[in-house]
Amino acid sequence: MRFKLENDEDEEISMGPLIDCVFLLLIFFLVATMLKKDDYDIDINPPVSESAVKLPPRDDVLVIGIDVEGHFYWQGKATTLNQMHDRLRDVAEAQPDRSIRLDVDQQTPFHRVVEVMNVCQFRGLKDVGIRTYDKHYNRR
Amino acid sequence: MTNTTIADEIKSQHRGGWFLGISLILHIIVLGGVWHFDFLGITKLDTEPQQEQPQREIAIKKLKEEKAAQQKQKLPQEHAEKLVKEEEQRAAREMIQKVKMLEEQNQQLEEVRELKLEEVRDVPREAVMDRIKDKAKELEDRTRQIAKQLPTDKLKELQSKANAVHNAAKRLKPEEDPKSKESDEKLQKALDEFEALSDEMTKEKELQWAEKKFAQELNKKVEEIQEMAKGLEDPMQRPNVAQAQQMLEQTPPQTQQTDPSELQQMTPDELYDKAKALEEKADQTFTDIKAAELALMQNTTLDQAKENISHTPPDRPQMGQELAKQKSELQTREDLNKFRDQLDKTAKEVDAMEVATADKVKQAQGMAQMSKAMAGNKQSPQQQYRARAMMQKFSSGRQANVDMSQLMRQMSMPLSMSMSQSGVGKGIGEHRKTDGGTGGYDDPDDVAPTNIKGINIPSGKVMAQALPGQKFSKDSARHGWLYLDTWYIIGPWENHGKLDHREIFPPELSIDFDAKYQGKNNPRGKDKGKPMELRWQFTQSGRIQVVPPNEMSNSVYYAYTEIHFEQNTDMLLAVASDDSSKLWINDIVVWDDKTHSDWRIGEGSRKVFFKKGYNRLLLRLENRGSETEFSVLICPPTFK
Repeated sequence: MRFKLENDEDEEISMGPLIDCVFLLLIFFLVATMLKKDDYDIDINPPVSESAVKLPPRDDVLVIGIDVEGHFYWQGKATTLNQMHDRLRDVAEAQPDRSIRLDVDQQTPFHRVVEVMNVCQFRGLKDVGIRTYDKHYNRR
Repeated sequence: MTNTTIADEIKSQHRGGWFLGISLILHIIVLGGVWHFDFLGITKLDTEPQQEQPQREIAIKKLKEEKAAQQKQKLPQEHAEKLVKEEEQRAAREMIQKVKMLEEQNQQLEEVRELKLEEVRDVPREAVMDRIKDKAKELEDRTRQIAKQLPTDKLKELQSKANAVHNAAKRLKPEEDPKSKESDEKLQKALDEFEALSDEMTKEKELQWAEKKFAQELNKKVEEIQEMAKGLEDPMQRPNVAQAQQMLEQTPPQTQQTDPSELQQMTPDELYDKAKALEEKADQTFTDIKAAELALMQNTTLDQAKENISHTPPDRPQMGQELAKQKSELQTREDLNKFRDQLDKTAKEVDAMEVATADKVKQAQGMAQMSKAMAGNKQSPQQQYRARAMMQKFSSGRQANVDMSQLMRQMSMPLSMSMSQSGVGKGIGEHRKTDGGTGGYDDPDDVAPTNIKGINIPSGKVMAQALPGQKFSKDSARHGWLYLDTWYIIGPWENHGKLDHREIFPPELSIDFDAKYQGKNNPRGKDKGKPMELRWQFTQSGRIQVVPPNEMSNSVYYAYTEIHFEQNTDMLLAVASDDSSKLWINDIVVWDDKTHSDWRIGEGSRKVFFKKGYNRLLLRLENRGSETEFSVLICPPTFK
């Protein structure tokens, strides 16, 4: 028995699912990249605070680190005192409202902390916070 | 297969795609959720690290061992070369920028050097006369001391001759005076007579050994005056003219910008060496500038100014060699990591070189500003010299209350600003018109510092009411006297009990908070006799007086701070110190007290000018006894 087949031209493999998959992958990578936060942490043991306010990580926060020996770090990279002064002056001129986070060790000489806070205050940078120990974050 | 079947199959394929899509979304959500919670630490056991299960520790240990073993594995040569090249390119990109900046900075410094040496070369006859007068006075003082010590006839005769030299020097006249030739001859005659007598004394057999020795010593001073006197007749005979001319002629070739393609081809170790050489060259140029500035400000010879500068050249490690060595020995992943660290350190060091040189450029440009302002006002070398001499005279601690604001305003601001603002009263900072409002000062006499009367600093009231401060605005709630409590302090250096501020230590050349210097010798402890390592230390004082850390006798300390003003402002400034001190505001000396005195809040005051924005203050503190302290207070001049 012969059946007459209709025109086969329409019987192509649909591209729809492929496009769906590509889009999904695209969205996946997009979201994954956006979620990745820059890590400016230095090797310190921050002080413990019971009353510290938990804030979500932000990329626009300027991180200044001071290690146990009193060495300075700018966004996770070692820096000198001269450079820190110059950079803070530039930040104060360009973004006076910029948030600053101080990452200091429990054993960091306290005068170093006062020194940085004094420079920030003198330059008009008022949004300065200190990172404290967080048992979830610091366990990583 | 029917048509329907094919259509269904296509549909089912389509559905399959959707299933796949939905399943992927679900997977993403689940994975994302797990990752997210893991990030927050929710999926992990909520225990402290030391209480975690031993399996986990074992696994971590194993992983670490594996990683360590991997680090020790030899890298394939081709792969290693590729990685090294990538790392080098990364570091070189940063370093090329810094090298270019260092080249520019060198060019800027060279321009200032030329300007300053030309100024020294053009120093007028008036300056030479002042130097002769100072030296003649020194000669007379010394002969008087000697004659007291050993009152012999010959030495008394020498004293009267020294007196004649001093009197002749005092009568020296400026160039335009027709009598100047006559007074020059008188001085020459007095000098010749002194020299003849001292020569005779040194040859006379009957004289005591001490007399001969003193005559020789005094003759040396006369020879120095003779040398300077030659410059009165012929400018080319002046030591500064000859030396400045020689330095200008022997100027090392001007720094040229290296071709970018050439820099691109350089390896990081070559770039480091180039940056190091550029920093050394900039340092040398800056030392010449400072020597020229000192010679101009203190009216001394260039040689003497250079001698007084205690200069420490930049000490940078040999990182280029280390880098090349590590590169040649690189075999394992561990070596690669070390090489990467070394590259980072090298780039950081180049960065520090650029920062330190930028600071020197800033200071040199500050020094050049006064020269440019004067040259722009078409001031003659005589007028320029007079302006400096005035600053020198009025900054002296012997002048208790001085208004220096007008001259400082002119020196602190670019010419165009000083012209446009001259005569425009601005509240506290109001100052007089000099030429009917057209602006510009033609003569330093127009803006000369003046002694001010009626300044009374009520010690008890100020001590009780003064507040600390670093930022000042017109609308500030704080009124009255404010004391500067925050300083960076460095010291001690040795002053051998002299409070003459003659020897110049590195902070007077440039402020570098990261620098390490060698100070005076340790008086005790295991390092007794070895020089102390000095670094800038942050200090905040809870009271008006600031005490430097590590107080020692016969020492020099430096204190540096910055203060901020919202607008150009004139302020009263009160400086006090135990024992002596010297204060610069934006590189201009406003206070120079060389006396051995206790701290007293109203030791001296100045009316000074602070420009809008940040103002730099550098204080030199010197002491003889073991205790030392200083204070700097400011107050609006209108405050009663």
